[in-house]
Amino acid sequence: MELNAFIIFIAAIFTSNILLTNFLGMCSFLSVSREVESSLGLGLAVFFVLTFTTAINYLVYHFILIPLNIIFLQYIIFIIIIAAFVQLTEMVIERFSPVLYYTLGIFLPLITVNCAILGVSLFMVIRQYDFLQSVLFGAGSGIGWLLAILALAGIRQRVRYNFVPIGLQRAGLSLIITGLMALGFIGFSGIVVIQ
Amino acid sequence: MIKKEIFVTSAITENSVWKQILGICSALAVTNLMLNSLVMGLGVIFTLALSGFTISLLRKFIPKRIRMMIQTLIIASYVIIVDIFLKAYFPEISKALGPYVGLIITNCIIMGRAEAFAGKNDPLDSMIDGIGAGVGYTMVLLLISFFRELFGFGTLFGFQVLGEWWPKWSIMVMAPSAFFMLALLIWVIEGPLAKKRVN
Amino acid sequence: MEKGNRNFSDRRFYPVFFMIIISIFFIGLLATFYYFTYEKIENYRITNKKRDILDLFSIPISDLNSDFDDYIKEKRVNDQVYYIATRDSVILGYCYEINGEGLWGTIKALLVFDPEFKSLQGLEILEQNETPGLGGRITEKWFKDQFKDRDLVKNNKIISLQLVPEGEDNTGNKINQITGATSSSRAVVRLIDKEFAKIVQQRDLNYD
Repeated sequence: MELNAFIIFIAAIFTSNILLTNFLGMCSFLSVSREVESSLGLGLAVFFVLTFTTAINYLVYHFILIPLNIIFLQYIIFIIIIAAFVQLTEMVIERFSPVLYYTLGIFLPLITVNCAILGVSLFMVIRQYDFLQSVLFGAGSGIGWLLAILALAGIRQRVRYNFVPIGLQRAGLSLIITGLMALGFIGFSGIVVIQ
Repeated sequence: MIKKEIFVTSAITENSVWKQILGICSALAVTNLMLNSLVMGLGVIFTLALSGFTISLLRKFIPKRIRMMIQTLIIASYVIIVDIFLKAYFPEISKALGPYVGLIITNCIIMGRAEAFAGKNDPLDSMIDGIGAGVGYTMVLLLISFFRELFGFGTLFGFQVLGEWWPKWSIMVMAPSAFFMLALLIWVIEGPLAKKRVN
Repeated sequence: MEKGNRNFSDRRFYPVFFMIIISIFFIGLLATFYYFTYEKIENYRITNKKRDILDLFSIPISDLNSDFDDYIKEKRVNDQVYYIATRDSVILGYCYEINGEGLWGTIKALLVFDPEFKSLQGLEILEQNETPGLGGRITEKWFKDQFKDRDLVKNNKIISLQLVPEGEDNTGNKINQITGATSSSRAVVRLIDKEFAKIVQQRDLNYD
């Protein structure tokens, strides 16, 4: 791929935002965005996992899967690596910030099945990025996800004391806000094409 | 718990999509057409049943520290086996399911049920819970895709329902509409239920 | 029977041991499935490809394999596979097998060029992983038919294909894209342009 790695980085954050453009990584995004603090915590955790797993998956794909001709195991190997890394992250957070650990609850282990993380690794393979591009793509996607969840948390904090019909509170409103943000981000499409 | 209760709980009362807000990624991607929702739903039901059963069988042996990795491994294996099986014996269906394999593996519902139910209950109950969750999920998806396909393409399951006169709503074809439809769905269901709770 | 103070499952290495056992079991299960069905899936793929190639040249099929051997010859240049179709010693055209990046995955397709490499005579999608119902519509007949009889060269200059919205005029070098699936439509066109440029270079054709 001839694209400058830095351009991929910027594009992954804004114009091809993994969450608002590709719609991956929704579940924890909607549920955790109630509070800005926990959103920041989860966002940073996702950023951490994304950057490292994309790098590791690149190495595994190119130095193990291809030479041994076992590409069909791609999905499984990638997701096991992601699961292992999330387990590691969980232990680190439990050790250094028990408060965050308990706030995030089940959503910390659910990072494993965050479609964004597997999605980014699969995209990296499909688009045949080299190592530097892959790492920056992973990091950029992580920052993009972090920004999106912070944006949603910020907006939710603002509307907390406004009138919202009882049926739309929490999940319903979050979905509408996210839908509007996604529509807004469609405006970015075409500025930089990395796919 | 009696079997019927388990099923109803996971399919309706504690519905994975509108109550627990799980499985949203796929709900956005596949609800553009009813056929896609059905294929995805069947794949998810199947995986939920098998993985629920297996994880429940092994639950006493799985060490706490590597719980996630084991569950992920089991779930992913089943999904890929189904994919390979379809590719070999039902290639046309496999072509429809192909793009979704990754989405099923990372479907939060499957992991969610494994954590919340299969890890603590016996195999048959877990399988019923899994099937219930899958059926509930499929129902929601079919409902959303009903409107999206009807207004976006004028068809239902590929059959032309609205004639040429219908100006196809492009927004229904794009993903953000799924957000709005799902929000609408939650509003319609949660509204009366929440009012009942407040009273 | 007396048990020790610590059960087997409390030992330090138990998680690793368990993980390895389960991994071996499930990956072994997967690999078994894969290798058992590998040939069947491969055969299916090759049969379909042969049928697609014969259809692209409008060659009637009575016995797939013998018809294929009669009319089509496979050639290989570096990594590129292409097929020459001949009938009664006249070359009908060249069919190139190409692959490139789509939106969600790799798109594999067959492109047919006339014997002089001046126009595109057909397109068939072999494999794609685009969004079903949207990008997936690149497999629909109306979309593929647009790539029949398209001049790629005029007055010795290469014409690149241009995408226009669905419903608009699609003559000349204009191709109707799929509404709501511009990325996938664009991917196909980009694939064609890139491939043609490569062929022009490979065969030393004197176009600008």
